[in-house]
Amino acid sequence: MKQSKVFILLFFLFIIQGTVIPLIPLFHAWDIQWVPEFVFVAILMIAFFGSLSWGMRYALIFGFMTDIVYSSVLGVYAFSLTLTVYLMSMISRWVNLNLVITILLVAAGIVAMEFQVYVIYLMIGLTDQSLGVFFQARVPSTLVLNALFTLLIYYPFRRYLVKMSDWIQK
Amino acid sequence: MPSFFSNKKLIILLTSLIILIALISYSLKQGTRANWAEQFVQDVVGGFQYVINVPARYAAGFFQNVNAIENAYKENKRLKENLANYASVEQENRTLTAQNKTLRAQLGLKNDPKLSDFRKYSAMMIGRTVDQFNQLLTIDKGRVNGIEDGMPVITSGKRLIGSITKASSFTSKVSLISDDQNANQISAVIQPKKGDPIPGMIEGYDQNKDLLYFRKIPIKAKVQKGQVVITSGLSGKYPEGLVIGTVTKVTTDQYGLTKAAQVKPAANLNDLSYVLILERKTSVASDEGD
Repeated sequence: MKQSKVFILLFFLFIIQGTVIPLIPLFHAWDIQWVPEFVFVAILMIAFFGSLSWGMRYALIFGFMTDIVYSSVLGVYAFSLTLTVYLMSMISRWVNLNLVITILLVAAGIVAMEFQVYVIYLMIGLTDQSLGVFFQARVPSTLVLNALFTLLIYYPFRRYLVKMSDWIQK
Repeated sequence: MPSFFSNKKLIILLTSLIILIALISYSLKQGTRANWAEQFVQDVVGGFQYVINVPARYAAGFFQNVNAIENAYKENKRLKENLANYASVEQENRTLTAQNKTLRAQLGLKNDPKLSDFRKYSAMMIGRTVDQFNQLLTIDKGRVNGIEDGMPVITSGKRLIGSITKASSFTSKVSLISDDQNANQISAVIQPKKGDPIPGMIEGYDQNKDLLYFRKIPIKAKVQKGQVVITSGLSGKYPEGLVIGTVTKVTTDQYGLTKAAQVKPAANLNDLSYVLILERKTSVASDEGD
């Protein structure tokens, strides 16, 4: 029952990413690419404060859904999301997780994930974006947007996840 | 210090890499239709997208209206200028249509539908990829409504925006012309004010500059900045006369044998809400095999 709540939240974020965000005029301004990765941020937090196995399971499910619904090539997002969630949660075990560290880890995760997707797409010829454009017009704005989102959900979501993982352990 | 990957995990990683490559090559295979699993996920998600999209569009529409009011005065002035020309253009158009009809009748083409004849379906955009690598829209019409893979998609003013790539039962995906793979080999033409039409091919899209490449133009053709590029109807996919964009820069190609131009798309691909899907009434002669 509690699991399904998390799934519904992630699914809601997944829908929001593709329907509401493109309607906001800000997202087409000045040739800057703002890429919302809200589902990814939430999954990372599940891996940090909940459990890694859930995080990876959700990463695989929502990665595949992104591939099917929002892209034309299967498997790329599923692979990158799952691998990045695993790597980031390995790193998170060595550090003391607080708000600042979490935002930094999320930022690192987003750069790693975006870069994996970019490299795979570049190899199969789906994009011809240059490395300069990727790092100037895409990465900084995407980091700012998703860091703001992390800031927004950090306290409520963390409290919820900690409570839930206690409940699971009992 | 724990290591990142134990032996077992390394094997899992390598296996998933192999699966990834298999999946990529499966989806890159030309002419794959969406399989049932893809169609199912796309339709279910599409249903939710539709539900969320309607109120969101209302809210967004409000802000757009406020913006539109600001521009209304300027636009009104400009449109009044254009209106003066309208009557004469309409008259001319009518004369030409009548003339065309008579000439076609004389040629005995009366019952053949024109290459530019098509049936229209209107659809609403319910979702869009935001990662900018994929240039895809999801629309709320699918196979049930008669949409098939490969149909051209336009927006108001007959401006070409792309084609249907994956139609499932109730929703379908539109691949925009800003997708490099989709904008490949569109047979296009420039109709200059004087002289013969200038043929060429749209070959690819530059994601860094947001421009289309218009290549294989004859070297002697007089291509100028500001000329409008339209589809020629010679390729089987797109009907005749859809506006692709305007020429912004003219160069010669790398071998100096043909001319090349950069074309700015006519449609604003970032601001789409309602689109039209076209179905050609005629198929190209080679398809019929006569």
